[in-house]
Amino acid sequence: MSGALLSVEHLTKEFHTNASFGRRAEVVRALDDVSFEVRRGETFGLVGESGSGKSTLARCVLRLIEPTAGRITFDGIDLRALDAKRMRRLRRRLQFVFQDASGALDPRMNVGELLAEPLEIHGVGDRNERRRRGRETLELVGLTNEMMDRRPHEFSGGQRQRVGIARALVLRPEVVVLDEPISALDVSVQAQVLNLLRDLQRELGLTYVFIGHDLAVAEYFCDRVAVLYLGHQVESASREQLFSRPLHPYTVGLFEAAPVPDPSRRSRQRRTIVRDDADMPSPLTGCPLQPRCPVGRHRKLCATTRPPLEEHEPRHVAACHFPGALIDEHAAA
Amino acid sequence: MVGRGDRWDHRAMSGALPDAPQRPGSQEPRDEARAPRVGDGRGRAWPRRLLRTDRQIAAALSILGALVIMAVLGPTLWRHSPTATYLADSLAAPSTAHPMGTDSNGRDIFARFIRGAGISISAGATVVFVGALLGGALGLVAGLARGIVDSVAMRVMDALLAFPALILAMAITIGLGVGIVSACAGLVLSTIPWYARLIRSEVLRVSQLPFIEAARAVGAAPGRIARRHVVPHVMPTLLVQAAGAFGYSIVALAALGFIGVGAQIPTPEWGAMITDGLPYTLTGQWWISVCPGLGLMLLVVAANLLADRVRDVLDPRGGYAR
Repeated sequence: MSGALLSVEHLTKEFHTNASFGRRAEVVRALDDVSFEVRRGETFGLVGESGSGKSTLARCVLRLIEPTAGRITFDGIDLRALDAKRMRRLRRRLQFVFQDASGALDPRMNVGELLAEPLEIHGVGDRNERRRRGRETLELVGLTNEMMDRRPHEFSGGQRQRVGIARALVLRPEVVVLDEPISALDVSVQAQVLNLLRDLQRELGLTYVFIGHDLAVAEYFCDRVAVLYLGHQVESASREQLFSRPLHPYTVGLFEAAPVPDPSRRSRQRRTIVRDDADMPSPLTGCPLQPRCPVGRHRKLCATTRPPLEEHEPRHVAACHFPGALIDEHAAA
Repeated sequence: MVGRGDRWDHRAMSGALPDAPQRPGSQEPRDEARAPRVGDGRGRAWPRRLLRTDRQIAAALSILGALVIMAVLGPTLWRHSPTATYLADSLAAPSTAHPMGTDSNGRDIFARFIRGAGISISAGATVVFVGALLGGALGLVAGLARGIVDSVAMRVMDALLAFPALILAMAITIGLGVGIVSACAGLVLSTIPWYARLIRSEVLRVSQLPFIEAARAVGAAPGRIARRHVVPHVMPTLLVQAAGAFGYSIVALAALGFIGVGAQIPTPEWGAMITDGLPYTLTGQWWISVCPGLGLMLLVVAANLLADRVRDVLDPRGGYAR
């Protein structure tokens, strides 16, 4: 617990479909027993392919959707124990940056109003003070004063995301959850926004929870990274550990599926973990990856027993019966 | 019905698109799909520009304006009483003394025509205003509350919609006792479901847009989200529906008057006047029915022309990119 500003323990989220004529209600487990800790001032990354539950996790952490079970602690406060009003008040310290900035900004408001709204909600300052703070934050994200009177649709994608970031930062929060903040942007602007986020972190002492699917971005941006697969946390480690020697076969698969911008390395046979079928049922008893896993596909242990999330190296946890087996095999080949 | 595309072209050619003032520092290329459009409130001058360049709105508004001015100023300028009878002067053909002639009791049709315009416009506007207010509020509450409130409200609306609107209005009017006030009440009740259902579905759509979640993320309470983020987005839809219902309400009120359950005979209501004059059209005194009929037609056409353009100008779906 030492030094953790935000900690998530055994977080589970289930979605229920409604029963209708002749169909039974189904339960989809989007998050299954996810735990992690984020220390003050660091950037914690959550990566995984689409459908792995990243965005659900991001929303559950800030209670934008209500988790089914688990505990979320922020600065010693149990978030799930708060009533709606206290939670709203606490949001001042916990902010969210959305992937789709054009959707997340009310098109009928101009930038000045968008930036004043959070302050208004939390009763900060008077009208002039709020406007001043809005202007200040706008400059902080690299936009100019005269944009205060414009509406979101008058901006480019990158500028719009800067407005989204400014709106999150105008309250000077401590934790910012970034839900794929650059995925919707042009490649040319992605780096700019990423660097901006990094500068802001240094300047304002922010703690980030970064959701993404791009491993290269995660390696560049995050201090520690957790990998999600179908709602399960399969591995988590510091950036150095994870990117030098991933222990879980799924992480290895993610790395090897990533495009390599170097033709000389491309000749090597790509050993991807093929996703045969998007609806492939994850086994109820064994390892969730087992049907796709080059290591565990034919092993009985993997098919019958779910591997627990264990610390295999100092501060490097993985949920695998054969940690490191795949990366070692590939290294030998 | 002219297609949306045609109309857009027509408007573009007649220069109705306001040229957004090019602000310094906006080198960013604008997204074509989000080009500035009429009525997004960018410039305060757009209503005037709209009037100058949009002939349909200009025509509709001039007819409506003329009828309103006539209804307001007419009674003071044209000193004949709409209800006083001069039996000696009955069934007089249009002349300089009586521009629209007189009816069987010698009442001046022009005075009645003027008063009738006021009745139709004010009663129609009242019906629309009250109906939109109640129906919109009901839809908003149902859409925001969901659950049992929503189900009950919508089943009641379904029940009301099961009857043809005019038949329902007629039944309610008769139930309350014939007269123009009960006719208005009947029409309000029979039009409430239109607004309620429409606004409810709009509220449901808007509620799941990302900026609502974003508002929650900054700590906005449900009441504030409804007020600041949901209502402004469903307002254009409500206005469009209300504009469309204005013409309908006027016709329906006249229809109720015509069949005798609305305004009663000495009241110079256009529908009742048409009924009043009907027997005389066979004997050649056409002006008693035709004059209020023409007035009604003019008013309803203007109302519908306006409503038709209101839809495009407010463009509830196009105000923001989805």
